[in-house]
Amino acid sequence: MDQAGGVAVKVRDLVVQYGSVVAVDGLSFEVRRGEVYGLLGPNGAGKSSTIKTLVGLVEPRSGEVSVFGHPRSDEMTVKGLIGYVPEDVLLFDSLTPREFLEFIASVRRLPAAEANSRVEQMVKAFRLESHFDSPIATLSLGTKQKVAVMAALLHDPPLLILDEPLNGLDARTSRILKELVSLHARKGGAAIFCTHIMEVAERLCTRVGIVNHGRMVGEGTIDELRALVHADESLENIFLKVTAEEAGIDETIRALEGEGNG
Amino acid sequence: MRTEQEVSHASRRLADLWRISGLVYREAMFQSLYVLKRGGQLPETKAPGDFRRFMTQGAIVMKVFLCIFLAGTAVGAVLAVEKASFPGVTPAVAMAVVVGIFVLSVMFIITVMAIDVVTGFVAAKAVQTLVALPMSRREVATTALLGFLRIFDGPLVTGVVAFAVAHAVLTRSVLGAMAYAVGVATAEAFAVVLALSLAELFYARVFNRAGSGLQSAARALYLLVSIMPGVGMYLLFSYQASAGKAVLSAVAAHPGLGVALMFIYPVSFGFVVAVASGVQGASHAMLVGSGLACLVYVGIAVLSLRWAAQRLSARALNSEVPGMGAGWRLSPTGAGARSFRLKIVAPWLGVLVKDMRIVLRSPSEAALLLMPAAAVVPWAIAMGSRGRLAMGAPDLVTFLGLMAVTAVPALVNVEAVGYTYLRTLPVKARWSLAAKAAVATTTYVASVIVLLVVSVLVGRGEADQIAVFGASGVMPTAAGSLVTGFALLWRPGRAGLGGGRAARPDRPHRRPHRSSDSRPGLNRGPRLRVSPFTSPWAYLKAVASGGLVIAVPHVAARIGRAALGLPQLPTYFILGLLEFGLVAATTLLRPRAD
Repeated sequence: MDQAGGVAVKVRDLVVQYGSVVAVDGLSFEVRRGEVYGLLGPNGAGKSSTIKTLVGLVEPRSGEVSVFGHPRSDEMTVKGLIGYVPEDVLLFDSLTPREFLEFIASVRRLPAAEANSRVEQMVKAFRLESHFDSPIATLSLGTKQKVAVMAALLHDPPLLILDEPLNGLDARTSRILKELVSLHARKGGAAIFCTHIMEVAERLCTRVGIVNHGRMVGEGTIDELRALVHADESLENIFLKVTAEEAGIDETIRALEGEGNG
Repeated sequence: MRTEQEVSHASRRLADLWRISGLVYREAMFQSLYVLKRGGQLPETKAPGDFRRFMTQGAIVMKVFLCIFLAGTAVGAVLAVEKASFPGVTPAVAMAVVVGIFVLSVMFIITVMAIDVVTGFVAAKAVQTLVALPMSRREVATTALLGFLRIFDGPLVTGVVAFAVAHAVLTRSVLGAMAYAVGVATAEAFAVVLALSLAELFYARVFNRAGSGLQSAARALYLLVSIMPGVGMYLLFSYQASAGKAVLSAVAAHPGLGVALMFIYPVSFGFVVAVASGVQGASHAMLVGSGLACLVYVGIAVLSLRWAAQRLSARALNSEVPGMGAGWRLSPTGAGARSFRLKIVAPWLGVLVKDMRIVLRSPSEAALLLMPAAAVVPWAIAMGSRGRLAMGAPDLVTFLGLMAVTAVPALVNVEAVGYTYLRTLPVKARWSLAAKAAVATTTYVASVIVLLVVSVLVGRGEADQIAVFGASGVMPTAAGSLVTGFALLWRPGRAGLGGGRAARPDRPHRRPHRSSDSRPGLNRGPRLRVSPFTSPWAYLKAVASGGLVIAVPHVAARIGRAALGLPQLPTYFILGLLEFGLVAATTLLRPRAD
């Protein structure tokens, strides 16, 4: 399957623009097989726009994007290789999880035996038994997120793209999902993991790319990033340093405390 | 830190609550447009601020449109009243019947126009937000009620005023105008309550239920009830003249029916208007009979409004069911699934099944889908009563085809916010196209079958014509549906789903600049729009293109017969077949589709 020598995702000089607003400004990075790549950045940094370009929701202004060697113009193949959990879980509310997964399995042309086996395992793992035949609209945010995760994993894709996948998930499901992602990478798959929870990124991701103002401002393993900022810091501190968000935090907190005391 | 005294304040004035209720109303409106299947008509190039402004302006335009529509209906009603006459029926009875039909029209218009926003209102969590604010329970309940009334404010006032003024101006009867105003106000009260009840019914029995077998059948039944006002409005506006004549002819044949009508809503209000306007044939007995009936109906309307107000308040205040929207909050069935086996089908069939499931759980979409079938009803009635059909079989099947093609945008529209997710899946546009065209064509076939069955049952001579032209019309209808879907879903040179202008690259002449929205904590950056359509104009173009494709074989066959003496049916059939082949080849089978 791999036609690009271990490279699962290649993004080169990507520019995404909405009207006159540049959301991604010449971003380049690679994700290799066996990696969980953490795509981090402040709000509005361009992470979601990058991901939406990868999954075919956004047309880039310029740049190259390929998934396992397939250009994004080969969209049916690319979409078939990806399992995607969106940031906003906007599914078909009037369908039940069963009906939604039937639709997903049908359009992905999955063999019934394989799909049913995976569904049964995931329903039990995510404890979705009691909600399997309830309309999605009736489910809590976390349960909807479980359905979205199940839909992304249903076809056992070689590339997982997870945009804030832990939103609303309970501790048990979060743990299972994180283990699944790690296992997926160990089995030779690749994953792009977008999150604002630095502790999760630090523990789960094998490599991290920090995006700010649509550009890559730091990339590498946690150790490589530590070397970049010349300090033995946590990922949170590294993140704040490379995105230049650190300045003013202490003053802001003191000002808020002062106001509270006053 | 603020003290309790600062937080707990004096109760707010009604004017304050009215202002706060504006937030509740706007949120409900937003939900109804954004979430409840109206996503397809939203423009995609708007910034978030413009987007909100567009929605507000859209709601105002809708209200103004409804007001103009009601005012126009009022003028039409009074003109119709002036011309109302029928052999063997007194002018008073004729006026009563016409007024009754228009009063019923008002009820349907307001119910149909408001149903989506009302459904959005009962689903919105806007009032739930208020519960967290330092407002008393009574204030929250009042705000909920005011927010609900804001959905209807302008149209309600316009309805009453327009009918009364138009009647006063054209008939110079102030008393008649006042009676008309009471009749319209009562109809509006019923409309408000009906809209609320249907919204609740929809949420409790249609949207909140899943499963198969009996549950599905029950859900379909509730859905049919939910869309009745829409079908009623369509039939009433299309055939109000025929309906009036049918009632008057029945009264002429059976004078006793006129007495019974005095007590039947809404004709009883028509009798009161006729008596108050001093029309020839009006009598004291009429006034007493219909007046008493009207009093009962006004009483029922008042009680219904009180019920609606109590229901809204109870929902807002009930601590067990916090918040207005949560009053109708959906809850999972809780029943554990016994099996987790999925029914996996071919991709295009998967799209079709998904579409049908969504459509049949949404009254507004289902109403659009069932419109062709509804269009058949008057013809079926005309056939049943052996009346003369207004159209011949060739025109009729073409008309049914044109009606069926409107189902395609409805089926695209059902994707709503789910369309974003859909585009991340390897769904080929041709699968979606085939599924939507299949549903639209099936709708056409069902309509033809209904007509055929009725024509056979009543022994009409048109049966064979309907059968052969109906069968020949399948191809042009399928071709028209494909063209409509193609215009909405296709992207040049791409296999996946298209439509919309979501996040396209900027035009080259604009100078790019950095967004200030990239500051942390200010998540105001541009968001992907979710709509499958670019604009209502694109919608119209798509339907017009499909309609043109349906009409071409029909018109060409007619011209061929008139100019060249070619037999109409074979020409129609062959042209339809050729057209379908051509359209299918250029849409479903084109090489770039894969």
